[in-house]
Amino acid sequence: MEVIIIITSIIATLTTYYLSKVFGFSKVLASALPSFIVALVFHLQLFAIETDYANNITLAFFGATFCGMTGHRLMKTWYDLILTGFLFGILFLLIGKYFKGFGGGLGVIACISVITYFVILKTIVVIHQLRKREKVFSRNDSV
Amino acid sequence: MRHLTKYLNVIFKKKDQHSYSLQEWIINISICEITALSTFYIHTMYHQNIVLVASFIGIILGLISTKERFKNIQFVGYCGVFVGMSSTLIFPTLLSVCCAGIIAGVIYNLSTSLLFGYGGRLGTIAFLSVWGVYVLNIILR
Repeated sequence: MEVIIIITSIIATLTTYYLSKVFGFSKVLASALPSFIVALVFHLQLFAIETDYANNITLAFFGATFCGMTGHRLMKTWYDLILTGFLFGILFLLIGKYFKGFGGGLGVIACISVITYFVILKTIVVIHQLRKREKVFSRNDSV
Repeated sequence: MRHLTKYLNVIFKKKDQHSYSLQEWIINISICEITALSTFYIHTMYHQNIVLVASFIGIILGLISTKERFKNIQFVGYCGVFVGMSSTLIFPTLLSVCCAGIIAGVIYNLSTSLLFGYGGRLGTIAFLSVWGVYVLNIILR
């Protein structure tokens, strides 16, 4: 189940992003349209899946579309999207139950995952730059 | 209102991107209110899937606001949809949904540049308003 939710989140993030960027959909429509289709498919019980399980998948999909709503200036590459979706899936499984019943809970998880991803990314970039500088300084010292 | 928005933007060290006029304030809050109430009403009264209702209203908002003039309506409306996604355990009456919708609209108007471009911004605004009204409900009980 966990794997399916993570895969669903990644697919939802990618779908929303590409619908808004490539096909020129507005961000709200790019989030709502795929979510509606997925929710309708599970609502009509086209797949023989338990109700709780189906609800979790639809919620994960709907929440992950918010990650895909991130601005095109921030999300530049496909792996940004995949990693953000992956992070959302993990956070949804870990802390999703605490937001049950609260409107906007999925949005908070999406926001946390997007911010966490960019903080980690920036930290990695800073560490990489510092290591480069250290290498340059050590070369100068040896010369 | 504009001064308050600018003040908050200075606090959060953000560039002043846009500050709303009084007319825009009223429109934004009322749209947030309408979408919150409609989402809550449909999913509680007709016992429909929350995601189905929310995304359906989201599609309507997305289709309405294709023009540049109405671009802002879809975002504030979507924020209201998230408020309306709360369960009856959190909001026992429609009055609390009304209050949460108004608070969400106010926060949206004040935070023009806060977390701008980050996914989940509207959901976070909705959650803050829902949580605020929920805490107030507990205190006043």
